[in-house]
Amino acid sequence: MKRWVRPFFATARLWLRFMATDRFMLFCVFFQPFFIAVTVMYMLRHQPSFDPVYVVVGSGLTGIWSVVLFDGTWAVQSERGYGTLELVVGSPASMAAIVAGKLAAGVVFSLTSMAFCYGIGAWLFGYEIAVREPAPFLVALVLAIVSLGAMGVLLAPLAILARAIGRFFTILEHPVYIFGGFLFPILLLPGWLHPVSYALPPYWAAVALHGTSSGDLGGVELLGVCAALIGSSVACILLALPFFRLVERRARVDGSLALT
Amino acid sequence: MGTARLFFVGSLFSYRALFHWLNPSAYLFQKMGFPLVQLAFFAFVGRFGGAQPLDFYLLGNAMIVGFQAMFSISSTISDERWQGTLPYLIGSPANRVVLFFGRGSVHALDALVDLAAAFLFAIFLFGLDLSHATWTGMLLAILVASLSSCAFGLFLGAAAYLVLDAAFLGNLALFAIVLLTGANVPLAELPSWAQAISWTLPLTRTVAAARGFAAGGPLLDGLPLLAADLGVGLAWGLAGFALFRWLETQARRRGTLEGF
Amino acid sequence: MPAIVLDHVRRVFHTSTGLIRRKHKDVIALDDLSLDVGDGELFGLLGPNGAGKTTTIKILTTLLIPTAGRASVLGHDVVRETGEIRPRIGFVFGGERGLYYRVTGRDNLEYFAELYAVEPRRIRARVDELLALVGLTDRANEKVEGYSRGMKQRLHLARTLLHNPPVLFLDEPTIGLDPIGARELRETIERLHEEGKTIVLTTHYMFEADALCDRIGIINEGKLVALGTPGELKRLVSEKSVVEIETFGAGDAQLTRLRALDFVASVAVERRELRQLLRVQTELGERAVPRLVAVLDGLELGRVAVREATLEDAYVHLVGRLE
Repeated sequence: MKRWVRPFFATARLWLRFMATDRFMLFCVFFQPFFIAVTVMYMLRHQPSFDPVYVVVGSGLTGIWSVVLFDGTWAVQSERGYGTLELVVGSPASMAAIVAGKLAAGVVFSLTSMAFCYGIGAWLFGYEIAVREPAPFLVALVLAIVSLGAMGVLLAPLAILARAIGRFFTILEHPVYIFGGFLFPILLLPGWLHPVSYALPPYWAAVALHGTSSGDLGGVELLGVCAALIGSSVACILLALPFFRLVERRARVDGSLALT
Repeated sequence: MGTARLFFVGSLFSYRALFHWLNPSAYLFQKMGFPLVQLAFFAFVGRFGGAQPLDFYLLGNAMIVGFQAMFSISSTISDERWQGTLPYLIGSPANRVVLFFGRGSVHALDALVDLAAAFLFAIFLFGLDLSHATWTGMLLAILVASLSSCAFGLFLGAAAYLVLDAAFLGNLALFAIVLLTGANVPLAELPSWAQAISWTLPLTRTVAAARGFAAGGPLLDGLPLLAADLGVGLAWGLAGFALFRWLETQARRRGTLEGF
Repeated sequence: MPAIVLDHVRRVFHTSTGLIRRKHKDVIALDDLSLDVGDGELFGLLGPNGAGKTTTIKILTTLLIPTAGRASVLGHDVVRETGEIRPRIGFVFGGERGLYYRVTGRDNLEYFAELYAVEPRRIRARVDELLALVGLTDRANEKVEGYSRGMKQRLHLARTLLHNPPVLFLDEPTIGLDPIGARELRETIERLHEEGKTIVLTTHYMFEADALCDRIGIINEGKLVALGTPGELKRLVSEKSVVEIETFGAGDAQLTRLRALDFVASVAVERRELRQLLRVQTELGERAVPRLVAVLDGLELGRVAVREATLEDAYVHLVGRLE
């Protein structure tokens, strides 16, 4: 309780305040989805079966994923930047709980992305945008952000252990848009690449959200997708824990906690 | 001789100093990875939308990929402040024009690498058809794209001092280019006020010229567009220089050089 | 049982440089260091920059794992029993960093109170108490980015005390503070010592170590070169007097000639703009003055004085230089 729950909530509260004044976060949550939503609206609107809610959900997901990616890969590095990493590691709190708190703040904050994209579609383009299955959509949304947040918690120690992830996180943005099927179906990808999508929590998040917003997903299929989201969340957290221990151990051996 | 040396050596040194994380494998990963994912994402969305042929999106996104360098340059000047080296640069006798424009020179070469990688991917992975292209024109277009991206980046770097966040400004410009240069959305589809913005951006005319050259259009048809875009880029670069000088004067007057 | 034990601790850092052909180098930060700190003791750790003081503190605060040897705090091993140690220690590395600058001082303290599991009902009162102790009550609700260096240092100290730990590690806590701020901080440290806390303090200020510490360890190049009370360390140089000579233009040649004199134990140089203050340790006292002046013939001399050796002189004698 002391090592986990309190640090989780304390960090989430602190980080929400940080994010509200962080220009880069504001960019990820508002501006980037705005540009993507507008660009993709223009690119897709000539389709015979065009449904603007598809763009709203997909663009909103890009905002959520960008925040998760940035928050996750920089969760530990940002503490280095503040000079607080040693203080945090040297405290009794669990590093994993602190990072999870940051990600929780991030995904909650990034929900405004989807709302903002809804506004773009409705007010800028004048579309009538409706979610076909509101209740399942809400459930899917909660599971989606939990699952993406959990993936961010796994990214945090990986970003330290595999420096390339931390340094080049921007390169990981678009691949997930692609393999996640955020703004086009993965059927367009070569078949041998589909298993990559299936292994990614963002893909199942997109399936759940697109499916419930369009009304195409229900019943057993929806339950299956929800199970995948819950399973991936648990898997990410369980995988993250030993990585966090490894990161701390390695940093204590290398003496790199104080380095920027 | 001293001026030329300052131009090239100074810019190379600042490139290395600010991108100190670089190692060959990381550099290649960044150079190959980013153009590929950016290109792939919009190509797939474009194919899904079906509004234009696939080559439209491949060529457009390949031409704008030099904005990575624009992004790097925009953070160059603000990074000097963050590292505390700006007062020493300002206090040196170094020629301001050389100092300022030299920053962009190595990045221009970098942009050419990005553009080359993007075209290789577009041609060999996605099947962009340039079999009828006017290659002299294409190469000129690539060169102009690189130079005008960098000049625009210089303006963004100076402007970042006013808005205090190079990452925010750089990303804003990046997405404006994605949306407004005709790379993904034909200009005629945009509202007239947006088209007016498009023509003020570098790369808009270069993208149009490249489309003409790709279809085998004569060199003379595209050259005025390239010349105009070069002029636009230069104008942005000069505006950046003027802004930088003005900010420097203000900072010296108010005693805020440390914060400048 | 001692509160802190270092037993033949060794710490090596591996560094590498170069882009394509990388050169590897081992830096020995601590070399077979052994010492104890008693329960309730205020222990000073002195040494030049790069001597290993901060490395020692980081090992004891569980942030660094020794390459060899063992260390323990309150009977718990620093490598394997971090869960037992971390709730019972507080540490300050000080400086401008180490605080969340975009939130207030109060927010910083409340956050760390959560990390250290201070009883939730007590957090507010405890934070108020500590803000008052360090004199930051009036500025508590301002963002840390607007704090002066001294204020940040004081906030660090307040953060360290949130959970009332029995052991404190203070790494150069008064560095960069103005004289009044530094004196107030020293008074606070003395009060904490009187409360029975075990404190390990690193400092460059000899008078501070002399005034505060029960015992002092002097480290140089990763090795312990002296250990004792301030009085014991001063006695290492008590037979020696210190002749202070102010010169203008003394260079390496003059220093070499001075050091070659058989009655000179050590020569330290403090450079002050255009002047140099030479501190010559010698058993001859006043009798050494004419011979020293003769060596410096040709140079413009200022003040010449003879005094008794201090802790700083003992330090110079052991370490060989001032910084």
